[in-house]
Amino acid sequence: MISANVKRGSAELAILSVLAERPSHGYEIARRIESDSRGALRFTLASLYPLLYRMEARGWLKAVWDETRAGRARRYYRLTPSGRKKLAPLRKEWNELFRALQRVGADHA
Amino acid sequence: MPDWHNDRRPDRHADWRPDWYEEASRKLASSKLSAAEREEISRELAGYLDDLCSDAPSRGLDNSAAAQTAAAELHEDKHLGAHLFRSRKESAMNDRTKQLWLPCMAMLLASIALLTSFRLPGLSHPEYGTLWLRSGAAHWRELFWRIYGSRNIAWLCILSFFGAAGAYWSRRARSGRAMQAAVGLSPLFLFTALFGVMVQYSFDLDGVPAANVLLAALAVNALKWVIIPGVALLLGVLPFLRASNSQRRVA
Repeated sequence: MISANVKRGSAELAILSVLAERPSHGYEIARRIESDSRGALRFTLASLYPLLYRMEARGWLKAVWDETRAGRARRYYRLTPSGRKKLAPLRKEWNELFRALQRVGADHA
Repeated sequence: MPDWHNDRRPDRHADWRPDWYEEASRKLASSKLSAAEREEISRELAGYLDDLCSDAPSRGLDNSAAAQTAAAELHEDKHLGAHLFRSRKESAMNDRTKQLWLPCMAMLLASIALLTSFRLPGLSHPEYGTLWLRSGAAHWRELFWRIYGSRNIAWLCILSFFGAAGAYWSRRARSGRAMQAAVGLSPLFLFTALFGVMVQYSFDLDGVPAANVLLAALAVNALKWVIIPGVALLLGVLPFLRASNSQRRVA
């Protein structure tokens, strides 16, 4: 069973990665993660917003109300310098973890 | 620029969609969120649900299925309001506070309490003599007994535990090795300050002794108050630093 910390860590990385490209609102973040991961990662409202608020409170994200192209008011999240600084080491840690897991799998294949 | 915070109007949408703002407000009604927070979060969640419904055709869903999916997401977590409240409030402390300042403060307070409860020789009256005159540098055996006396040994053992507890606390807050070491060794600041005060106290009381007495007493007391406690703390911290290393290797 994957621990809550691992899940939370991977979700944070996904959100930071998406927002590193451009600021997005909640639904857009969820959709981009789902499409970029080809459906493997899926956020719902209940899993996305607590995480977004936590990351915002930590100072990794900043949110402002803005208008979409369709003229709707949405809260757009963007990375802060602190969030951008967090992204590279987090990516490195997860890459190392995946490589290690692949090695474990290869040893037992 | 529109004032989004005062704009309570939901998105204009088709009749088949529920008023998501009202739905979200009802969902959050029993939470501890303030009225302003609840209003803003409701608007944000309503926007999400509205986008989910608008996007329904691209997912192959008809209107009714889209509304059901959106409602299911809103009600998926029974305690959504509580979770959102906690996310906003509990993380108000930034990482550095959780990883460094808070555990450091706790460690310092615990160290003060420990020193007080142990009444270590050199601190407690009537043994609170000056560093060199009462424990004169000539009496090496006595000095070392004072350092390695049974009470001091127990104190040092507890210090090791403190070092471990501090490093563990900081690691639980997902800190790096440097931060864990800093927290684990933080009582050293107290001991170094205490040592400095004792030296000053001794100068004030007895003046400056002969150079050989001064140097020997300073060395012995630095050993007693700074170096040996530092090593004891480090012994407690080290397993955590090594654990971090091995975790990194595994990762």
